[in-house]
Amino acid sequence: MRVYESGQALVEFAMVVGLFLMCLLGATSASVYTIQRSAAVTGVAAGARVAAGGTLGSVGANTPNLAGATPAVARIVSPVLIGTHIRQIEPARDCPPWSAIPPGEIDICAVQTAGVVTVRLRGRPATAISIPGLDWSLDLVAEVHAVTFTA
Amino acid sequence: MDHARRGQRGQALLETAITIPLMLVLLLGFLAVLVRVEAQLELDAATSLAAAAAVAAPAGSSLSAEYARQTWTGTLRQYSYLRPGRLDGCSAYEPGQPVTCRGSALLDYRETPMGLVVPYPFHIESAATARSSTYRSR
Repeated sequence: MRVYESGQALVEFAMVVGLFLMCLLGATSASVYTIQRSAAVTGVAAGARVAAGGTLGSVGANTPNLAGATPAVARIVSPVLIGTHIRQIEPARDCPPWSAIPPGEIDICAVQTAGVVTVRLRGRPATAISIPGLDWSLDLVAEVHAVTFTA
Repeated sequence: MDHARRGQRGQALLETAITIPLMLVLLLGFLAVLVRVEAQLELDAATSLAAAAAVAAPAGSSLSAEYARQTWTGTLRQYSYLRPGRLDGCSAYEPGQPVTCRGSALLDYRETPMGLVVPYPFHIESAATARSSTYRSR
């Protein structure tokens, strides 16, 4: 009877500890993801502002600074994307589709469509704790209308 | 003796039946709080960009509101749980004057697992003010 009871207690303990650890892991993973996502939201918004600001030169005022946008995003997100490869796509080229981005890589791109500048961050951070059924991927966009200076 | 064992098994089952849903509710509630904070941040970023776009339009033009709306909806359209609402106040930019935008959105958990613990939508708001560069001539 005592052996049976201690065995039962062990099984119950194992179940509760397993569940508790699963919840703890899920909460930790979600917290890390939220921090990364917050940085990404701030980053793409900052990148969009840089891009919309115009470039140097005679025709620069109405030319979006696409080349300056991706480094601005990278500067903000890199401290929280530890171990993740951050790839800055060359200006005016859109980010590749999901299938072309390997896990552990984040792509940042800036494009212009008509008068609107779009800065996008897309990929899967390396530090995300993998939990089946939960997709900790990042795909964030900031759009802003470019500055218009009339002569 | 058999009666006592059956009682213990029943007790363990009851304990498990109470613990598992409770832990799930706690986890989903925790996620819901994170999403709430995240949604506010996303709305703040979109509204801030909208204000920046409004002062980027030619001075005295009705394009300010159009640029702001285009920027705001373009930035917010990607989130399935965040439905853009109204964007007010992004009136025509005038040199030297600030432009203030006020945006609202509906945060709806019901299409996510968090809808089990928060089965109703939240109304969230944000405001942002932008000024154009002092050196801008028009």
